[in-house]
Amino acid sequence: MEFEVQENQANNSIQGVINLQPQVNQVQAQQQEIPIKQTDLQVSSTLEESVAVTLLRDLRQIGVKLRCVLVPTMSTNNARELRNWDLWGPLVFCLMLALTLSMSGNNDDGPGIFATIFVLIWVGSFVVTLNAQLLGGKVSFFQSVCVLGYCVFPINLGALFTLFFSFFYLKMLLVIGCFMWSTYSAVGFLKLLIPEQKRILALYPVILFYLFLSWFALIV
Amino acid sequence: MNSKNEGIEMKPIIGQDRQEISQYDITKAAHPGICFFHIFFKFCAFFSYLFLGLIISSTLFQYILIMIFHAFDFYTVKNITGKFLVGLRWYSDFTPKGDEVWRFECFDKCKRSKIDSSVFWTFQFGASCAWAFFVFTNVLSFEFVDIIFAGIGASLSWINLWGFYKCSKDQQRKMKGVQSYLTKKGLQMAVQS
Repeated sequence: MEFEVQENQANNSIQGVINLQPQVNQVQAQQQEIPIKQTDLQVSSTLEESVAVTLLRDLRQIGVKLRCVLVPTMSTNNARELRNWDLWGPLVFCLMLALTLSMSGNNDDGPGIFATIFVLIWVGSFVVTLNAQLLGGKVSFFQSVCVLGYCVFPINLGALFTLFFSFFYLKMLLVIGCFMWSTYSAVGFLKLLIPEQKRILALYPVILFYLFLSWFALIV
Repeated sequence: MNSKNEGIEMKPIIGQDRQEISQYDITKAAHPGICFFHIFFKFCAFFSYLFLGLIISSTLFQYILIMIFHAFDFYTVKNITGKFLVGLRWYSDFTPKGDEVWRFECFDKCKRSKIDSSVFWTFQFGASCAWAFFVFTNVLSFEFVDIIFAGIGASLSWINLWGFYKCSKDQQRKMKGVQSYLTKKGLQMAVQS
């Protein structure tokens, strides 16, 4: 009778769920299969939407997450928004930062800097996330990479503004301000997910990561 | 009657040839525009990887364009093309407890044709193999920067391929499950009646 009911309804989609639990000691994720259940109305509606609606929805989610990062209140609402990870925001900010730094005046190795920053951001996020996971943090891999990527945005702003100023100490102040902003946002989200004793051990690489990026933004 | 019979006999033979030739005929597909974009971004990515150095002299903009095309291709295939051409979708979701769960969905409502799905699978698989080949040749010739861009292209293509393969495997399994359930019910009813 269950299958008959499914066929009679207007929406014919069938869904199976595979559960991936992020356990640190396992090389491959554990897979458990839950028997077939019907999709709920909200999910089925996203399957029928047009291209434009999909694009707008994704862009709006990027905007919401960006606001959560830029105004780092420690509310649970923010935390829930940031858990719906997506990697498009980090990609855009990474490209913007790499482009800004490689186009600034006093260097002639633009492409090299672009590749360096690009690899630095992604490999750095990967390593910092791995570190947090190995220290026993209950943080999902992609969520953490997403948050670290979004928190690069203040450094992005700093790099853009330093293009317009040439007075070194002003640039330094600006970059330090952006660094502290980035670090505060990232730490605010990540420290909720890491056990108390190992918090400093897990957050120190995050601080180092943003310090290195800010220093890059200042020097280049 | 004779001419009709001949007509009927001849038609299947001609139809077969036409079917094989026009399997990739996009104008007859159910979603020609989407098929075009599916191929277009892949083509742009390959073109910019291989030939953009001849057109734009600034390597910086070459890199940026390649990355943009990789990103567009991945987004298009995952969110748009897969949904319309083969009716499959995969994404990550969160249980109320906060655990992350990967969902693989199949969707039958959309009007699709065989041409759609053959275009989708051929080009996705072909592009993935081509990027893997480029990664291999770059590793052998130690061109590190090219490894990065070919590697990104290869990993994004293979991730999409893996996701949709899992969707279609799930779909086939569910169809078999539905079929076996229905045949069991049918047999039961036949036995009872």
